[in-house]
Amino acid sequence: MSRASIEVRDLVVRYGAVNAVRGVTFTVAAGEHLTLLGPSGCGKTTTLRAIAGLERPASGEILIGGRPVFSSSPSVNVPAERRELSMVFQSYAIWPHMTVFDNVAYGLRVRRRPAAEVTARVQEALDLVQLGDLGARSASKLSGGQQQRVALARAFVFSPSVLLFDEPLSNLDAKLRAEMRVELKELQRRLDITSVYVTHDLEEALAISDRIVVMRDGVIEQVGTPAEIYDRPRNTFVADFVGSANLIRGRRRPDLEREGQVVLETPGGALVHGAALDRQAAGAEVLMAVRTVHLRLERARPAASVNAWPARIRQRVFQGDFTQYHVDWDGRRLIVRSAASEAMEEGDEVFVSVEPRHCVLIEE
Amino acid sequence: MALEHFERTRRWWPGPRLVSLLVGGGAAVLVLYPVAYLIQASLSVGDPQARPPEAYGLDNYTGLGRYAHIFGNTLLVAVVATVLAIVLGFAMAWILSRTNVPGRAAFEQLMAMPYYVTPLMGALAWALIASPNSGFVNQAWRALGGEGHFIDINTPWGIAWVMALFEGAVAFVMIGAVMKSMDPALEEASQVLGAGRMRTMLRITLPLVLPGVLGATVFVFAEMLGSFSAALVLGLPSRFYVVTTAMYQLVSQYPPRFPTAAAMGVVLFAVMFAMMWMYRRIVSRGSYATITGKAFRPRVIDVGPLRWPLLAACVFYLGVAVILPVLTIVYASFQRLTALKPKVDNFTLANYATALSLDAVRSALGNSLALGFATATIGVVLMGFLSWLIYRSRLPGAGAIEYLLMFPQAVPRLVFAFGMLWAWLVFPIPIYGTLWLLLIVYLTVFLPLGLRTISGVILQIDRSLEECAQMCGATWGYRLRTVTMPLLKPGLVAAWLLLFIASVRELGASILLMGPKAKVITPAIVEAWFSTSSELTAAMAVLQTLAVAIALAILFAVARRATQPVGE
Repeated sequence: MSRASIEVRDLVVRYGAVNAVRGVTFTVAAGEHLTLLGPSGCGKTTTLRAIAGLERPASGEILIGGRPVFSSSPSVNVPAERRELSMVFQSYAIWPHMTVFDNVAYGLRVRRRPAAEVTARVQEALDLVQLGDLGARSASKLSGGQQQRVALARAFVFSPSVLLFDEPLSNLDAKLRAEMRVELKELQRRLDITSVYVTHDLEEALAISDRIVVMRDGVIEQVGTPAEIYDRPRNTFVADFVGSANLIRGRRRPDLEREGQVVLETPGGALVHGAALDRQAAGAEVLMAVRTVHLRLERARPAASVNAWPARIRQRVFQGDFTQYHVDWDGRRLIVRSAASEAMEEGDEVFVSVEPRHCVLIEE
Repeated sequence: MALEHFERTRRWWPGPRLVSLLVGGGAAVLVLYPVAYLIQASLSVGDPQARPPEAYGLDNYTGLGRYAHIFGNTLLVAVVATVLAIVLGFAMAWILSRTNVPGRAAFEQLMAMPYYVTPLMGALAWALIASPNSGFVNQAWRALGGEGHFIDINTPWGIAWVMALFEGAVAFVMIGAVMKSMDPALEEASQVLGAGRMRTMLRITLPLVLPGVLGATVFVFAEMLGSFSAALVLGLPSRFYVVTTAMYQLVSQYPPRFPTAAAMGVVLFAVMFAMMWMYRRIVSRGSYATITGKAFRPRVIDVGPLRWPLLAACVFYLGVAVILPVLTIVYASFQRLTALKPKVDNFTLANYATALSLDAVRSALGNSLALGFATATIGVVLMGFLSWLIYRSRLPGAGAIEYLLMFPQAVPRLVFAFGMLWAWLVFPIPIYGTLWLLLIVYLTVFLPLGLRTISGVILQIDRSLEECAQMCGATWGYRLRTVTMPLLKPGLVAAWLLLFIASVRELGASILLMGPKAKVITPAIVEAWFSTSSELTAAMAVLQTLAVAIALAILFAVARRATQPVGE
């Protein structure tokens, strides 16, 4: 299968007076799996639809495989059906008046492939999504999960150069969603294809992407690998959207800092050591993000020399896979998620600690 | 080089602005051209026969004072009929969606029937049942020793009664939709918080359905103001006129008084337009959150033994609105001289023989069927394209075009036809008095009907179904053929049927515009009613209905055969 790179430059999309996408630039390498992540209304779906050719941008440039498919100057706009892409829709868009086979065969028949080839490739695609024996079934008689698989098979059967996914798993229940996430990743690897995936689900984005683009209000907030996005959020928005984080505000203490380190002092006087990364903290007032899962609760004072403070359990919320503690610390509240089996009681005096590499300097 | 190629293909389509200008302009000509002529005629104060007018002024409007009683009549009939229709519609909607009356599902299906018994059929039937001299009821009354007549249908009350039976079905559909879209949890919450059933009804249910009922009231009232056929059939014998029948009289008398009729039409049109505007406002704003687009299963109230009287009410409504009129017409069509008591030697097929032997009837029936076929076929293509443009293509100004195309809804067909009469008389192509004019008129006045039917289906089809075909590489034509059209098929078939039936039964516009050599069936039935026997008229009415039914049966058979290989 041919793989194509995608370049999006200064993309602006307007709906009437509303600017849905306000100057977005990113690239997807050939064979890469990129995810556009963000809350609803952030412009991620609009960006995807602009790549697909279903939305006409106001300005900017889109190149697929080095070939311009949209450009505001010189004016180029290749219609969607000639961009040689494919897409899986949020609603699946399974045609109810056709059989499963006809649905999947559509793209091949559009391309006038011989009947024998159509039959063979459709069967192959259906086998790949584990629907091998359902070809003759009417598409209106499928469960949600089956529709999802038909939509997938239909999207890749004609070997498009790029696959676009518009929140494909959002209509499935939680358990099925987790299963499909794994299958999707497996499928992506086997097809060896460039893909752009849109979701508002963090776990999904972390699981299936090579790189993630986090968007808000029509602009890009951060681009990075899943690990970068999760471990080193650039600002408060990303830190908060990508998993839950405690934000700690304080004054820089350059006098205590060593190479690659940053130290801040909270209003209550606690010293927090963190990783400086390569970011420049402007001014003396700075902000740190600490993931709720990285904080540890212990009854005894930990051996670590830094980042260990006394605290008090205010509230405990049992949530199955983990327990969420609300802890009084330094005159404020910290949230700690702990998988530890030893339950702390409300009112217990404890120690809370965190490794400096998990305390990340961020922007407002 | 590649760039040039793309640039060239991009210009295949005319710009969206141009398309919307063309469509909007076309719609404006079709819809507004007759209205402009109507207004022009109403301002003509010179020789009433002169075209174009010799002088302009407002005399026709100031002179309308002489006709105040006609406006009073119109208001009386419309108010009485609206109140009755809303009460009927509300009661039926409540009984069938909220109580455990036996056979609810079947009744709900049957509630479409009154709509198919047109006001004209209803009026003819009720004239046979309750006209002061020969009506069945009054025959029985005298046979039982009564004096004079027991009831008289040739009164404002009679006209309102017939209209209300018909519009009751419309009110039922509108109010029923509101009741069904109400979340039962809203009422349950009230009860859980300690309110009794009565209090819940008054404080929760009623306020929630009120905007819907109000919308239905305004809509039905506007329709009543412009109604024509029942007022013509039942009002003419007793010289009781409403605005539409008075206009008809002024135009068809000798010498005709076009300017006065036009002024009346403009006033009626202005009032109806205001009503429709109010209706749109109520519907778009007033429905709180009851309408969430989600279908709820309404909470059914166990009414206990009360369900038998409620069942009787349903049977009564369908009885007087459908069963009685249809039986009456069929019965009368087989009689020599309609009498209440059936006698063997009074039965005859002569009425049918006469009707079918009259060349006028045969050609009128043929013309109507041909017109119906043409209107439905052209209409489906035209209105399908317009619906798609308005609701799918994101054309600039689509909302304005929709408003324009829905315009005929606010104009009584008779008034509209009046404008057409003037407009097409001066048209350079001589189509006046031919079926072509009727075709244009039908296509114009049925725009709202066709658009509403087709757009209902278009809006149900998720946009992504078409987009997905596009992503699979299908071109515009291929998509239309493989995805859009097959999905739209049920809606297009429904629209075709509605347009066909509506065209064959059209009266208000046809009666003014048909030429002596190009007659259509419904005005011919009305003519027969006033100039020949009621038995012959009944036979013609039955023939019309039969012709529609047979035409549809043949079409379905042909269509099924034609599509069979595809379906397999």
